Amino acid sequence: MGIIETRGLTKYYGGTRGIEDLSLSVEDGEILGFIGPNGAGKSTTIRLLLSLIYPTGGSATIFGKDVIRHGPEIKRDIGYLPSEVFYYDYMRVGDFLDYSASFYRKDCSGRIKELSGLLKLDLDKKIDDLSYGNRKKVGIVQGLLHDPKLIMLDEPTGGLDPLMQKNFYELLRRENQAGKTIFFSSHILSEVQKICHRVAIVKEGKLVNIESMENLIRNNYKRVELMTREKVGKELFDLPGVSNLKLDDGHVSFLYKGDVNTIAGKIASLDLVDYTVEEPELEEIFLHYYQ
Amino acid sequence: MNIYRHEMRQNLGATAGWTLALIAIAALYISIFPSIAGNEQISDVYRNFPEAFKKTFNISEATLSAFAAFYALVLNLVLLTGAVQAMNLGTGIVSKEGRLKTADFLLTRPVSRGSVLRQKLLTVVTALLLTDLVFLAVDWLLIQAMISDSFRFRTFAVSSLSLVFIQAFFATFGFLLGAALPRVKRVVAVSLPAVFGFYIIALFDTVIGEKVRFLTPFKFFDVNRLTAGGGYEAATVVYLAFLVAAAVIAGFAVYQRKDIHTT
Repeated sequence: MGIIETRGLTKYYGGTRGIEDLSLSVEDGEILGFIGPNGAGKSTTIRLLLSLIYPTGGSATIFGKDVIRHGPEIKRDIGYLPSEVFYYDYMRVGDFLDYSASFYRKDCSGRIKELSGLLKLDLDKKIDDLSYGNRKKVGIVQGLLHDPKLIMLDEPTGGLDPLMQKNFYELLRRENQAGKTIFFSSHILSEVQKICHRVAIVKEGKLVNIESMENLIRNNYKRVELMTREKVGKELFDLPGVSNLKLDDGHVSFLYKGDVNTIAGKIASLDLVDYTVEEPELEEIFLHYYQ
Repeated sequence: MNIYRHEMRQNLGATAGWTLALIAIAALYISIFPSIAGNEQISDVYRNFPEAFKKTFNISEATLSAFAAFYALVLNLVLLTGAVQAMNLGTGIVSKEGRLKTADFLLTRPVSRGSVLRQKLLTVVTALLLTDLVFLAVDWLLIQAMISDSFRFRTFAVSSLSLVFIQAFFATFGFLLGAALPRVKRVVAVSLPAVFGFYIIALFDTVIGEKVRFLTPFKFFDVNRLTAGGGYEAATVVYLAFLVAAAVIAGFAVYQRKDIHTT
């Protein structure tokens, strides 16, 4: 049983689609990237899992417990960082983090010190006086201070400078190595590529694919580029598994998923000047789902 | 109880401010009574006031001679001020999480929505009772110090209870609105129209007729009767209790089922 399980999870806002019939499983100890463009339903899914909003249909469990019925209980072990962070502006950072910690039945002072030190966060400043990036750091600390087993991140790195992003990924990797499960939504693919074990792709509220990062990039997809002496007809590559096909005089490029012998046979029949077969960028695979 | 502690700390300043405002109103009025009581010139000025003015501020001929009647005028203003305080507090405390966009933070902690509301409601009750206890104690001392007319403690206590009643209505009405409205941008934009709306309805009592007693909390009881030693009618007290309970129950029910949006 996964840490997160959704079964046919559906949410409509009035007549507008949020997500539709989404079934997903997040395994213990993995980092799952949840990717899709804006409006695909990523935030809707996360907000349903946190019971901030209620589903129109279907259900979801976290740690094997229903997210609505056992919401408060399972939230003891969830850390959440939203895409946009809003906290009590009138509070000082330190007081706010202590308030956040007061919801958990454990001493979090050590973690607060450690995390704010790592992110170079000034605990004496008023939240109102913080820059966007520093607010985000407050968000990271409040999400991790209770040492949660499951970390949910909704487009987390916006507003962080590149150095802080690097520290943040380092922090997530460390948490993951300590056994934490991470559910990470993003529309920035390089972000997902850096850190995730598996990727779930959502499109218009539906899950279109879920695969391990390795499978997705290394095993299944190849980016093929050919330079030929003669012009090649389109029909030659009209076979299953070929996508993003581009033909330009003596230059052919496409993505291929399938038996390599099939494609090797096709390539061998051509009079080649040069050819490369390589792993594609995730971006290319991703675009393929949106065509 | 961490939310309760947090909210109490947040509301202590405003509660002290409202308490001082109530004390200032009472002190100002009570202090002028000795100089107007039985003063013929003032009675003459009063007779020239337009009827509508007299009615709006609950002033009658007796107001200017007997303290019990004059105190009804004071109580009238105290009730209006106390109503605004209660409505602000009730509306503000629940809707602030939407206004500050902190609902995401609060509701992703391991706490049920019911518990959030219970602790917030308890803050409202504590803040209002603190206000009323301190204000009424000071009010009574002021009356003792400045007024020579006999004004029985029992009459004072019974009539003062109207402040608690009216605040109970407006606090819970505000609580319901705060829980039900999608987003309250400015609390006073909700609370002031509500309080003054009910106050204006009360001014049209002769037009509306007998049923006005059930339309506005400012007519649930007659302050003139209370300060003259009268009591409350069982029917209105039961009706008030019903409204308060209904607002609280509806507020919880709506908030438990509500989708929380930040944008």
